[in-house]
Amino acid sequence: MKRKRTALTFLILAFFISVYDADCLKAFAQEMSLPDETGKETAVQDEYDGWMDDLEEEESVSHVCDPLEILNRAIFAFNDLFYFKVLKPVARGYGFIAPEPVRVKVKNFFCNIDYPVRLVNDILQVKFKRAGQDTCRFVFNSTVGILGFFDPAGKYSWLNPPSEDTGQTLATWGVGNGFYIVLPILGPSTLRDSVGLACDYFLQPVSYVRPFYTSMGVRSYDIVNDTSLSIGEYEDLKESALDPYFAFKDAYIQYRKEAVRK
Amino acid sequence: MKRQPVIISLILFFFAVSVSASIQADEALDFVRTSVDEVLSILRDPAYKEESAREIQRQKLCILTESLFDYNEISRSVLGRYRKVFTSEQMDEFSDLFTRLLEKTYLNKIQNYTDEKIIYGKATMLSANRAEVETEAVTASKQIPINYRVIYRHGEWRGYDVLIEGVSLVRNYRSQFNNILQKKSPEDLLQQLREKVNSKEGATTE
Repeated sequence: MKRKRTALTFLILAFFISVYDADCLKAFAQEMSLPDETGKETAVQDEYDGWMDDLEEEESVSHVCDPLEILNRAIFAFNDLFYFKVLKPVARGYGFIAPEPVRVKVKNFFCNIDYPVRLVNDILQVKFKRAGQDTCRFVFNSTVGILGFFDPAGKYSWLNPPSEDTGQTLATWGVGNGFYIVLPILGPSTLRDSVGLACDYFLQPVSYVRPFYTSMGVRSYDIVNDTSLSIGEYEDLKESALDPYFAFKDAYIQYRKEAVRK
Repeated sequence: MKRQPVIISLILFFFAVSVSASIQADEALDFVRTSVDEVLSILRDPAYKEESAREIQRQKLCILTESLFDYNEISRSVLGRYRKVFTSEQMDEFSDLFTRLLEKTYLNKIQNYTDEKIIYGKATMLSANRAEVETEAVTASKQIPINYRVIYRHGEWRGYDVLIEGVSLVRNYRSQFNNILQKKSPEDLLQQLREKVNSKEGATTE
């Protein structure tokens, strides 16, 4: 009974998202009325105009609604504070203690162990060749690569297909993004991708470690380890942006769109 | 019998077009490869190892990138539909400020280069004179795909966009500026830019 209810909820949610996305586009189109051309015609000929207009059309399709903008901005500010006051100092300290090669191996381990997520989603997207490649890589890295700490399969590009997750699977099935939401600590996401994350949770072996707080501890360690290897990336994007909140929103949407495309 | 020459000339035509397309793609790849090499040679130059030489290295990089990228084009592209709302003086100031913002941010960042390897992928033609060249930067812990979009105009290739992990720089800025210009005037945007660029000039690198 419980499973049926979950499946039903899931279906309704997916339907809702795809419908909502269509409405969202209409609203966006109405919003985008061309501004008055008050500026003088620039002397430089607008030879760019032809293909630039194509680019802009292409962009309006990838617009994602943000009805929760005020809430999202608040959570974004919280995440920013959390990063600078908590996560970054801890990651830095950890980085001083553990040398980089060790941290890279830990990252390899966690990446390897997420194999079920990739496999299930490869199959759900009917990408059987990728399922095969991911399985090969998992077996190879877990044996020759000693439980996944090493990544001998990394040398072979044909054993490293782009990784899939449930959010991408939903996108391939035609589910629209829905609306934009910033998750506490986890960062930018959309309604579809959040549902994807929730499903991924059940596919990850780390989630089944008992007791529960140990599982959370392991996850936190993974996050700290990952952060220690990418300190500076968040700061760079933030620095280069005029409106960091919006920059991250757009970068995330573009990034996910590319991931789905691959 | 009569149709044969037509068919042959059609085949030759398509062959020539596809060959010329691949020749163009190769040219684009060569351009990116040479350009990246030029930048790397400045970055690897031991003469600039000292902290004091950092500013001189930055100047050299500025001059080089201004010849490799079409900053005018990028500035106009980044404003999107709103470029028509700017007067030509505002447009000039915007172009100048935006170029400085890009230089401050990105040149600063690449000056921290420490021997990462660059792998060149393939080049694809996006249109008659535009191409996308794929490269990858390999660091100790990850591989970052960096794609360059280049355009052939007035007898030379120039870059007009960089995509890092699929995220287009131009598109990212354009969506930010569009968002701001929906509610504010061009003058407000220029003011915001002035503050941002000038505050960064004062700040020392961390």
